[in-house]
Amino acid sequence: MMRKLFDEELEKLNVDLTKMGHLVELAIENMIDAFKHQDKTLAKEIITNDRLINDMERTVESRAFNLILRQQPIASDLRNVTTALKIVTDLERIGDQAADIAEIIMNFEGEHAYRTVEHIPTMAKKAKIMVHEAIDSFIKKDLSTARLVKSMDDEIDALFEEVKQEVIEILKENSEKIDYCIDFLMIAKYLERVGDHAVNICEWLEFNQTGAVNDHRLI
Amino acid sequence: MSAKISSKNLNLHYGEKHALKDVNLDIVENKITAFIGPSGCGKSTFLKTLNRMNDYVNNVKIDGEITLDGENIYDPRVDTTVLRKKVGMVFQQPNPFPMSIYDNVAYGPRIHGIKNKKKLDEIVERSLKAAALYDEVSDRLHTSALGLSGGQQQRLCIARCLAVEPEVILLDEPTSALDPISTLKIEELLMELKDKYTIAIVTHNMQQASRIADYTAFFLVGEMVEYGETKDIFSMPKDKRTEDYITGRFG
Repeated sequence: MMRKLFDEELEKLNVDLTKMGHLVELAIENMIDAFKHQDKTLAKEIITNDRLINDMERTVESRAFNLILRQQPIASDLRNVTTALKIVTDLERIGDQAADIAEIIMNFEGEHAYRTVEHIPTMAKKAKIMVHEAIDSFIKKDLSTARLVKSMDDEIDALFEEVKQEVIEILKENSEKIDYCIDFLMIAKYLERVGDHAVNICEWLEFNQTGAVNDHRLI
Repeated sequence: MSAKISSKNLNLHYGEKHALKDVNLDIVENKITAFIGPSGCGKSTFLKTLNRMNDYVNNVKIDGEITLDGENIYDPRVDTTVLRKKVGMVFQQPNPFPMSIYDNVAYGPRIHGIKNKKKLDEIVERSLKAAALYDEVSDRLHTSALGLSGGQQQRLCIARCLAVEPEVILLDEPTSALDPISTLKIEELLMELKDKYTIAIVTHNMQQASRIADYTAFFLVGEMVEYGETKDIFSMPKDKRTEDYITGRFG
């Protein structure tokens, strides 16, 4: 077998990226659990674990840079290495959003956003599905699932608008709730960003398979 | 995009060996076309059919057509000396003649009947400048070409090729015997020369093809498997055999 070393390095890159994907998915799942049950211990754990995700980002980046340096990948090899470099950023950001929400949960006193704002649980579920499907489609190199995730972006954006309206209504009734309301809105915004990063991952899968993103030929 | 050279259903046999199988390919004017593929795939054989260098090989049988500006170069009426003046060639090992730098470059023009000293001086200077060698040798034009470095010798061979004012330059692994700096100089030279000439190059160096060629053709056991713009061949090759070869999975 030729290029044994090259294939081994590519495999390690892929394994690390997959591992990181699972960690990020877990962060999102835990975040939703912590949110649902106001579980501050779990929220704290998410924040601690985010460091692992950040470390993995550096590992993947380093592997990818060294592959470029030492192997000068071309064709599908180049697409695999550059895709890893792009996706790793989105994964890390999703981890960050989970940690940001966990931070808010840690500081929660009083009103329970998960129950108070009707559309937040729906958003959280949607974000979780998007992340799961995006990572899964990437691992399986499944373009049709990736397209499905992309189509979900409009739904999560619309949900954000719903949350905004709800928050406005809450404030109209009682302007003293402004502190919680800002938190609710921020959580919703973070969830909406999680959806965006899931979409990005799907776009990079598209690039990986076709060399193009949204019909824009990149390579 | 006009085709300077067209190969139509070209088949070549060395005795029983079918060395080129139905090759159809256009070489675009004022572009660099690279031929890549593992050893013995037929890429050098194909390059040599473009100025009939295979005529000298025993037992060779060529069918099909190669046209230069629409004229079949295998037509019996074609004078191969005139053909090779139009379609020059540079080889893997720099092969300067054992004579002075000046005489190396003036050799071709003299054969084609130019005797006038002033005219020859002009041709030598122009060719050496075009080959990016003049500045390095202008003070020793009448010393032996064999004293030049490998990279300089190869640029001298390019100058010698340019001296007879060709239209097409064929290069058979022109940098495989050279160090990286000399290689880069030749590559930059070829990029400049393509404005005036049509260039076809055989190379084993994948990075070289991707750096300088506008078009790349991949050959495998006598077959031209895939041909297209270099950026497509090296990013999204259509044929799995191309992908496997360029990424080093075989070859």
